[in-house]
Amino acid sequence: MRRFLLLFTVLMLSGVLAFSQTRVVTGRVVDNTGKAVPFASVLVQGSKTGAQTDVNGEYSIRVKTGDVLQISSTNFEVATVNITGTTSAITTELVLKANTIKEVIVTSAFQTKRTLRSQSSNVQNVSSEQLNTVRAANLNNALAGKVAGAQVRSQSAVALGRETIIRLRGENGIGVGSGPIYVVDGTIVPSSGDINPDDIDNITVYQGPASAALFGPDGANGAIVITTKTARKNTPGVGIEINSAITFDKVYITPDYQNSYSGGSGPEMYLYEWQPGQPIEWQALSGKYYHNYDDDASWGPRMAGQEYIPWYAWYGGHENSFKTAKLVPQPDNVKDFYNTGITKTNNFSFSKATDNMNVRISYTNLDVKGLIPNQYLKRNTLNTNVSLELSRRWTVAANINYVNQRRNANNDDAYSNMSTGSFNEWFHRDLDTKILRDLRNLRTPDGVYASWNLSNPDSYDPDDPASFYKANYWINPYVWFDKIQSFDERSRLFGDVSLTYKFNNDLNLTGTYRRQQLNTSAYDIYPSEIELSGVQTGFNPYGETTAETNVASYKSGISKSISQNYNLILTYHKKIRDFQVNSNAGVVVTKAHFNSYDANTSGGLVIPGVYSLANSVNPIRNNATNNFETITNYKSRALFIRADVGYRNWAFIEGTFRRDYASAEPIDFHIDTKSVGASIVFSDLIKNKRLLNYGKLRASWGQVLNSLSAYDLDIYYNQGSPVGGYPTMSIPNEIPSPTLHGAVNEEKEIGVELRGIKNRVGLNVTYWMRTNKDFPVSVSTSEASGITSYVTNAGKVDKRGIDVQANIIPVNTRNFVWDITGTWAYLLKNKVVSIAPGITRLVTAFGDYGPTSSNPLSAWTVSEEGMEWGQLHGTGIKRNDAGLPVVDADGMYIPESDVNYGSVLPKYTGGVQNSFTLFKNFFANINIDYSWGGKFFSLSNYWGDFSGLTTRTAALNDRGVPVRNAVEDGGGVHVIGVDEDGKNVDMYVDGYDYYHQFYTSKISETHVYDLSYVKLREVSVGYKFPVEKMGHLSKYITGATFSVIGRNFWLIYAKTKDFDPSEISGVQGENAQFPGTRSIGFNLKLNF
Amino acid sequence: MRYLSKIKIFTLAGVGAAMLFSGCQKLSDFGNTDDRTDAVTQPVTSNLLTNALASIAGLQSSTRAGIRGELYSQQWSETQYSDVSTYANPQLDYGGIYSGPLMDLETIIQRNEDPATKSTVFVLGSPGNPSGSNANQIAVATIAKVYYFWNLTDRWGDIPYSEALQMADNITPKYDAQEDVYNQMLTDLKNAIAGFDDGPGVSGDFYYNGDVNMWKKLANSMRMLIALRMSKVYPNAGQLAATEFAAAASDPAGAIETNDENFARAYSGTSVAETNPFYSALNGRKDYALSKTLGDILDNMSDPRRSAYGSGGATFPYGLPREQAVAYSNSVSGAYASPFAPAYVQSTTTLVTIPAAYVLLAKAEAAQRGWISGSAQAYYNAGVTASFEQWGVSGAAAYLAGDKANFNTGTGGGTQIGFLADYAAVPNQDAVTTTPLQRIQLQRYLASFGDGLQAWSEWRRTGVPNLKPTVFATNNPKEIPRRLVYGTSEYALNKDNVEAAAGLLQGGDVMNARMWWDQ
Repeated sequence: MRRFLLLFTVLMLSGVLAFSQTRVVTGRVVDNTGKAVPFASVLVQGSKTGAQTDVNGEYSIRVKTGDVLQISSTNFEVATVNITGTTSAITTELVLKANTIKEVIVTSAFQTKRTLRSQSSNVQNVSSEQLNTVRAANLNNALAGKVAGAQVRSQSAVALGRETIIRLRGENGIGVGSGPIYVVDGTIVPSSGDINPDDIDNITVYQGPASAALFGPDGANGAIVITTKTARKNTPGVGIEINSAITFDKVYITPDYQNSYSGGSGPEMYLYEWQPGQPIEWQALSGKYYHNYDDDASWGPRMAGQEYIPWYAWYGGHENSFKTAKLVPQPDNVKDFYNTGITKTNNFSFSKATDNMNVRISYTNLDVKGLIPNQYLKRNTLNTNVSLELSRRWTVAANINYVNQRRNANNDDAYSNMSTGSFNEWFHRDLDTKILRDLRNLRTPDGVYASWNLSNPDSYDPDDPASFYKANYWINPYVWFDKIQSFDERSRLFGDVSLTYKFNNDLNLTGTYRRQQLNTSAYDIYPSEIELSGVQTGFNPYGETTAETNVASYKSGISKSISQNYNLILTYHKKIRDFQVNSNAGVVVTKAHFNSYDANTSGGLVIPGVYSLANSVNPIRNNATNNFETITNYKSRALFIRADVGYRNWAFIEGTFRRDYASAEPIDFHIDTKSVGASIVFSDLIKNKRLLNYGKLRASWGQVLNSLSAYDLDIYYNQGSPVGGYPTMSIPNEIPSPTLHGAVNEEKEIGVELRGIKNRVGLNVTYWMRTNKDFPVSVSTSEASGITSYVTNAGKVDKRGIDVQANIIPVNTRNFVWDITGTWAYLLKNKVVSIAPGITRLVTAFGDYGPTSSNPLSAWTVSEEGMEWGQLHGTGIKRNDAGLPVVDADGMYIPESDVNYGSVLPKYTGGVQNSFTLFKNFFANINIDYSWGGKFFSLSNYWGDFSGLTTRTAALNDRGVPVRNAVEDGGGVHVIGVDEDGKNVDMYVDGYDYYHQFYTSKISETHVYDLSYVKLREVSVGYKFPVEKMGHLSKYITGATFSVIGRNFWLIYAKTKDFDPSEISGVQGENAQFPGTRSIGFNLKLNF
Repeated sequence: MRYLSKIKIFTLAGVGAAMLFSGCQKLSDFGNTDDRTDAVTQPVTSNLLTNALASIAGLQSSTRAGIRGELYSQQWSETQYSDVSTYANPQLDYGGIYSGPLMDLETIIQRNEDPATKSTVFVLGSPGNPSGSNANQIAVATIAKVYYFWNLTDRWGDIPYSEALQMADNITPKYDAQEDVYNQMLTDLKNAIAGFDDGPGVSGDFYYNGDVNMWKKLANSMRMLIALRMSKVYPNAGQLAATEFAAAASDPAGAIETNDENFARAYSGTSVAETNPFYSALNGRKDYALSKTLGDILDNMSDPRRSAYGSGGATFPYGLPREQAVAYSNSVSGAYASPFAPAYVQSTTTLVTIPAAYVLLAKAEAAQRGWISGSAQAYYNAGVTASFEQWGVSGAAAYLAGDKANFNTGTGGGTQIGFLADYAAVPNQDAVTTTPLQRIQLQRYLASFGDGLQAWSEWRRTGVPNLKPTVFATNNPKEIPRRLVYGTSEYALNKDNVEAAAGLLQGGDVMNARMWWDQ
């Protein structure tokens, strides 16, 4: 380290020794779009005086009148500038050589800028155009398929505002790891949902330790670095842009529901005979038949158009009261439940740049009407970027973002939730959605809302009519979503103010204050009207006991988090003969504070319909954490230095060192982050560029130690509610090891970048190797140890992979250009080498199983020594050596515990982006993304089979008879297997029993599916109006583009089409996932 | 001059950076930033005790394990989803008993024994309300610990005991043979009784309010009940069970023999934690009913406890699969008898865990077996009377004099009884009694209502009443479960040890394997 420091100091000092002749002029070198050209060489012809432009394209040089400056840069034609007696500031525009590609500038931590050429690791850049092919409200979704090695796990549009997940180079960590950080203009923003895609100029993806070392511990899992738009000089017009889009979402992918049998527990219809004491109007129904209403499964009678008494007939007060109907299938009843979601996005931006200032102000309004009734999301975003060059030495800049989001969204898609949890798991297939919708306000005189899941008429008690009308388990879903409120509001402010002092053209110092804060408030209302309307609906998630889940509740909470960051960064760059040096050193101080208050009522509400914590029957509490209040403080300090040295702009070496100290670490503990790398642009050494325009080899190494979170080292005792008047306290279930530290992440990568045939073919291949070890693992322990887990440093995961980006321009004519970009990432290995002493297996993720906690897990993922990460396990079917299932005398499968179903991680992921330009003004983009391999467990289908909702349960068997018919009548499911003595079994099993066995025997094997998919994710077709030919109008309008856009357009391939495999919500699978949606819309962009 | 200043700046920057890197210790000092102000870092042992005792009630009432006993003993029926009563695989984790109350209790013992903390635990209670003397805290915590372990071993059989509760020092504790667990429990109880001193009683004890004499009585009662549970292994006088029983029965500290000494918990009903757990579990639900099996025995014997054990309405046939259960429910218009008459399952109803009736009936059996001296009949009559008194019903004298429950001649609950013709046609129990021993055991079964594990364990031990499995049993063989199967988490986290324990079971880790005392 010391040697490195010495070298750096020497390099810095040598810059000072440059001396001058007469006077200094400053200049700026730009390309034809006004973007800076960095590292261009500026030479006084006939002398040795030279300079180099910085990343902002600026330089200063000592000249005398009459000198001629020669300005050159790779890929640009050489330009000359004559120095006259009055020349002081010069802007030179360079012309790009034919068939060459501009140098890409990428931004890293602390806004440091580099050329892509000098990077020694695979740093991928996504421009605003590539990102926003189709206007997206969500950043991660927009990245899907566009970055090699990034797996985007999207979420259904029904889940309004839910965070999506991105995995860079597979999952990080031994359990379920954390993802990359998002850095917006140098500030870490914890939630990708708070970043407005409309304000993004470009995104640079740093995959891990080798490339993201400068971020220190935060960047251990990679960094997604976002630069927001700034005003640019030479932009035509007054600088106003209006960008408006409207898109419509419709439910597209649902499980395969059966449409032959209605609700109920068995195939019979029951005869209703009126009894004295029952409502007189019911006499009209006497002698008619009904099916079982209070059972919420669909093992009921066949739907054959026969007359029957529908659920609503028993309720008075509407046009179908006391009338029979025909029992007919309702194939679209689930899809019909969902609205067409409408998303309106309007962005207005104003920008202006002059020689010494630039300002951009942008306002975006996002207004989403959810697919579930009464759900909405409204987001307003304000972004301001200002930079003022106060003098030749001083520049002040500010970047301020404010996001406010208000949302009413009951985003629960866990087991037996009130939408998919009913439709996919417990529902009557005969229900007519229109009638459910029409009767959403129907109430009995007792205030009970009408439900399809009422009791059967023989249980009617004249003394207590309400209990007959009440919902047994399920409220009408429309009533539920009309009444329930799950509101949250978040306001995030982030940005920075910076002041730069330029000592000279080679050296400047920037001081930056950054702040990122989030205020949230949220409340949930589970209303009293619903309490009145259900028997055992279990609707209140804050119920501690079964009884409590059936009473109304109110929950409310606020939180505040502030993170402040002070940076002081010294930037130095200098060209010394054939060498160019770029270096930064700096100090970072961070302070973070979080606090929250959160509580819910308990035991119901004293006065129905009053939603306040004071209205709680029992003392209020917090179900989630047992604490009403959480306070967290955290501080850290870091020092860093990085440098890259280039030789003639074709050979580069670079290095980064950063040391962090943090309050959560043991005293005197420090966290070091290091990286080194080298790259050679060998194509610069080849004269003949006809075949190869650009060729680069690179190699890099990096090591990052994660940091601990605040209080990770503390043991503290939980205080519970008093019992018998005495205070209570308990031993924590998890304790940390006193020597705990963050995980160590090490990465090596080598890569080659090639571009040829007049830049029409490009290929970028990276082979990477990553070792993650010494994780702070929460090691689950046998509960008999007295703790359920302890946190220690252990384990090692070895990963290898290949990332490939390819670009081909098959057609490039005046009137037609077709550009294809493809990404492909192959996870060669993601092996759990070790976990912890004595532990060879960790259970890492599992979903909901069933209605009570007494049920064991259904399917779960494990990390197991010597195996690939993320193996999905569960109870399978016992099989003989030939693979035949072992069955008992009744033909039921014998369970085999702990069967490995394979990995949940896909083998390959990637995407293909096609862009077409026709007659310069028509354009089309077709973006496909795909993923291959990986498994998931479906709880929906598991229960859908149990409840007789799925097509399988109503199929014909190989004898052509419905599986639900009696075996003696030719029905039943054909089971071929062996008995426990190995004798062949070939028999038919009653359909009901067959599909009930998976729950009873806990067999999950039958509901494990493949994650592979190919998806047409984004389509846009547009027209760029030739405003310049529109005469008078062109004075006012400088650009106009109209496009038709589609998202999640088509699930081209998937092994199961019951769910969208790109949207699986849990690591182990789905619980009752929201359906896949398809969106179509329009976008209009106008520039003035 | 200008260059000089530049040089100065660089030198300063360089030296500054070098200084910072070369280990300026101040950089890592963040003062008290990482000290939590909103959490407890030193435990208060009396608060731990309250917390640990608070979970005792859950052992007999949680749907996880407690209610399984009610169902396997056929005292209750499932009315909707009947997988427990049709014997779906009862593979259950320990459900937090070790990591919750047992670890709390172990911590109390450790902190009272550890020289570094034993003086502070005494003081750490609120002023004037010390947590109790070291000796008394250790003794009470030990008795409570045994109660939990007894519950665990009677459900699963072999369990981690000697290596359990060592936290991170042993995260994969071995399983101890049930025989060793039983012996150790008896030893622990004896040591606890001997360990009490004259110092302040424990605080935070809502059962006995720190009364040392009552804790001794509880410990002696547990010794007798635990010893009696070994009767299949050691049936005769002079064997281990008999000598342990006799020692406990003759201990001068006495045992729980009147209802006002019951190990029982009162509830104020003011919060979830202060609510009778059966009320919490049953109110607003209709998952369970009073089983026809138990209902018929009570009816046949004209047992007045029927009015306490269930609400009005028909009892519910045991072990019907869902379809038949729903049909049966419809046939009685949903008006079947729920467990406990309403007056016995209020939010403020006291929950009895070890009543005097258990102890008296245990003494009756011990006397009948010749383990202790005294009149078995007298103990029997006292036990039944105590049970009547516990449930607030009268008529014990007439009942004991009648032809069904009489110690010498009572014929018991008859052989019926069968389900209704529509649902199944075979008898599912035989509650005929022919010997005084069977009469005692039948009364113990009847007195165990409200603690299913006791009813199920006593049935496993005695075979009284002669319960038959439901004809709809889904397990293989179609027999009533004899134990719970070790949880999946043990297989995931303590594989070698649980597999070793499973290997010792006849037939492996299955519900019909018999544990040591059930052979």
